[in-house]
Formats: sequence, structure tokens, C-alpha cells
Amino acid sequence: MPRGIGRALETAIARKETEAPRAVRESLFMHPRRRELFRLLCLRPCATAGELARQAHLSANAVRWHLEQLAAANLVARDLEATYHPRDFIDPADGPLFRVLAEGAARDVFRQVLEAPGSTQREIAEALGVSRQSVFKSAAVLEAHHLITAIEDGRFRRYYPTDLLSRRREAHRPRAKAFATAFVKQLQAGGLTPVVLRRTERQILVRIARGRNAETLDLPLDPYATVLQ
Amino acid sequence: MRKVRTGIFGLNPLLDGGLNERSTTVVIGASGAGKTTFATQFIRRALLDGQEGIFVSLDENKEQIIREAVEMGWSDILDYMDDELLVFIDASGREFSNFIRKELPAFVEDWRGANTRIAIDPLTPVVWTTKDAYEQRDLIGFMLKETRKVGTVLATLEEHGPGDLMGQETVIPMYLADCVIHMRYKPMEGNPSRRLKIVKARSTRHSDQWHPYHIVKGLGLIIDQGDFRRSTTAKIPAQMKALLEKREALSPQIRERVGKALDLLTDDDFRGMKPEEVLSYIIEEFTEE
Repeated sequence: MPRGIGRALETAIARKETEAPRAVRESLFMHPRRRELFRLLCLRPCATAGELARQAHLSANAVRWHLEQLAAANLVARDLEATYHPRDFIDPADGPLFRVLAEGAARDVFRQVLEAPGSTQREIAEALGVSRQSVFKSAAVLEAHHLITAIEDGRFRRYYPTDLLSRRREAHRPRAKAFATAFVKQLQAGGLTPVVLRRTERQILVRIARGRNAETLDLPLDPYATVLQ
Repeated sequence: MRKVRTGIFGLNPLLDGGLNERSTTVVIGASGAGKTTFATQFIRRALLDGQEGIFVSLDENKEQIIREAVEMGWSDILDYMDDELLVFIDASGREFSNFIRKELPAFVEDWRGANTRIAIDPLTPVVWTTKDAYEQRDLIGFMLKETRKVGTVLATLEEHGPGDLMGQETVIPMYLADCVIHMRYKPMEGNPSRRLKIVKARSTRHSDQWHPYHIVKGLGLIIDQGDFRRSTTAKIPAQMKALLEKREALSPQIRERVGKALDLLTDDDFRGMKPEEVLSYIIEEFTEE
């Protein structure tokens, strides 16, 4: 008998959750800024409004307004830390993880540790061209979230990445699949006649049309990898 | 029928060796009785044997259950979770009942023949997804009938009210389950002791006494068997067989029927009844006037 009945049951129950599609208001995704924001949220769930504003070249207030529009349509969820993520896209328990990695300095340190496992604070600081103090601060946060672990080696503290992120990424797969399916259904229910142009585990490309206008939505589905970009 | 060990220390002998494989059990108890500990211990027993376990938490407090299990000294469940031998599922009662109605048959079809352990803790929110008693019975009956096809199932039920098992939310699942265990805990009374009783267990010779139990860190639930000793001797049936031999005016047919019935019995089944009397009742039943 093959193993994995538990995971299969979890997926089957989660699928029910999103089966009755909520219609997407027709005009919602015809707005280029809103499309871009939704894409960014798939790329880096739980990023702060400030971070999103920088990347989308918008004011923080405009970002908040668009996010509220998406939230009103039930497409994104707001968490207790007042950051947003696409609804049913990530495990809500991973919010803190994404918030830590959405922050530039911590992300840089984490990437450096991934690239050169066993680096010391000094080595990381030199590679990134930042102060040791700042590496120390970021490393402490990453350690607290079990993303990296430190091993004492004489008078050095060497940092190694844990497998937490890759494990979470693996666990995310069925969820991403269910999310993409439900999302297309939502567009359909909203009368946007979606055409799936490409669908892989990491991305879904959907063409939506309203009247004579047609737009393409490009959604990355692998946030546990893209958050590091 | 094959037996599976419950994982609860001291309970197996009271159930004639354990729970029947691919059966459904309902554990009923008030808040604080130890239902979740019972369910966790039941699942963990399967994991120790390399079997898969699924814990469906309908209270949406997965983290708390895991934390409590770790505090109990069962931190190995974290490793089992990493290996996906154990999967914790958080769902609301509504999600789970929608799943039962629409997806369960297809799911069971996919996994028929799997032999896992499934705990549903607590089942109460599923019962409460509808007010209609007929629908409740239909939903719970269907769920129990289907899930047992992929493993041994244990569901807990919250007991509200006086603790006499009469509430509607307990009565319906009780009828439908193969085995019912009542955990009694009245923290507001002078002597807040915990006691447990096997209310029913289909095709099982089970204890019908109240047994005190304790929750001990590192071990979990331990049940005090008290003076309960299941007697497996068959002196009385043997005596009856001898009596049967002595009866002369019996047709061979009756002799065979009675003999077969006696083969299955132990002394314990007579509960103080006299062998000659029981024998005469059986013969009377099969004798034509």
C-alpha cells in the first residue's frame, strides 16, 4: 500500500474549502497596478505596504487602497500584523517566516548563509559589505525563526541553513495547486473568461478578457523560493 | 477479528485484547477528562509500529495539541510529522462535514485497503453542522461506515450537561459506533476522580465495570483494572457439556446446536447463572412441542 494517506486527506479537505468559487468583480484585475500588486503578493506574501510600494512604484497609501479592494473581493487576507497575503495561498502559520524574509537585510544574510554554509559573522559582513553589527542582528532574527542555526567553533560562530524553508516549500505544493484551480474558477465566476496559457508547479499564466480588453495575469506559485529573490 | 493495541496502558485486557481492526470507537467525556490525550496516545501507538496516523483536529488548535503532546513527553511525534507518518489536519466542522458529504467516497475508493489510524477530535462540531437529528445520524453514520474502510477510527465527543450520556450530540454517534468508552470526570465535585467505562464494544467480551484512571506525564493515560480479571476458563461450559451427554431424550440436531453454542463460552459469560438452568433454557428453545 502506498504511503501518504494523511497528506492526501489534508489536500482533499482543503480543496472543499475553496470549491464554491467567489466571483471576482469584472473590473478588479483590469487595473494594471492591482494586477502587479497581486503578483507581488504571490511572489512575497506578507511583505509590508512600504516594501510593496517600493517595488510597484506606488505610494504606500495607494498600495493600501488597492490591497483593501482585493481584500474586499476576498482575494487577499489581512493578518494580525497588518500584512497581506493571497487568500488560501500560504499556510497562515508561515506568516512570520515570510515577514522575516521580506526584510532586505535578513534576506541578504540568509541568502549568504545558503550560498556559503558555515560562514562566520565577519565573513558574511565582508561578503555583503555591511557592518558586523547588522549581520549579528539579522542572524539573531533568522535563528529565532529556525531558518539558520549557529554552531560554536572555537571563538567563531558559524551559521548553517536549516531545512525549514525547503520543508515548508515541499508542503506548499498541494496548496499551490488547489489555489491555482480555485483562482481560475473565481475568475470564471466573475465572467472574465479566463484562458490558462501556461500552468506549471511554479507559475500560472492566465489571459482574462472583459469586452474587447484582454490582459494577462502572471502569478508565481512558489513563494517559498521567490521570497528569496 | 484482528485486534489492535489501543496504546492506553491497562485498557487492552478490558477490551479482550484491544480494539477491533477497522472499527470505529467513540470516546465521550467532559472537558478535562483526557479525551485529546486518549486520542493522541491511540495514534502514537500506531506510529511506534510504523503505521500511518492521521489526527483531524476540529477545534483548530493543532499547535496546542502538538505542544501538549510534547509536554507529555511524546516529542517523537515531531519526527513522525517530519516523516509524514503522522499528519495533523486542522479543519472546521463545516469543512469536514462538506468533505464527508462530497468527497469522502472518492477518497476512500483511492485509499481502500490502507490500514491507518485516524483520530477525530472532537467530532462534536461535525454533529452540530446541522440541527436536524435525521441528518446528523445520516452524516455521522456515513462518515463512520466509510472511514473504517481505510483504518481504525477513534472520535472523541464532548459531553455537556449532567454526564449521563443522554444528550442528543452523544446519543447518535453512540448508536453508530462499534465501541463506546465513557470517561467520567467531575472537577466540581468533592472527589474529582477520573473513571472510565466501556459502554459497548461490538463482538468483544469487554469489562462492564467503572475503572479509575490517571494521566501521568511521560506515559499518558493509565487505567486501573481493579479486581477485573477476565476469566478464560471454561469449567462451566464443560460441566454443561457433561450434563448434555447425560440427557438421553434429545434429538441429535439439538445436541449439535447446543454443543456449538457451548464451544464459544467461557465461565465469565454465566455471571452467576446456574449451568443447569441455562442448559434447560437452551434446550427448551430448540425443543418442539
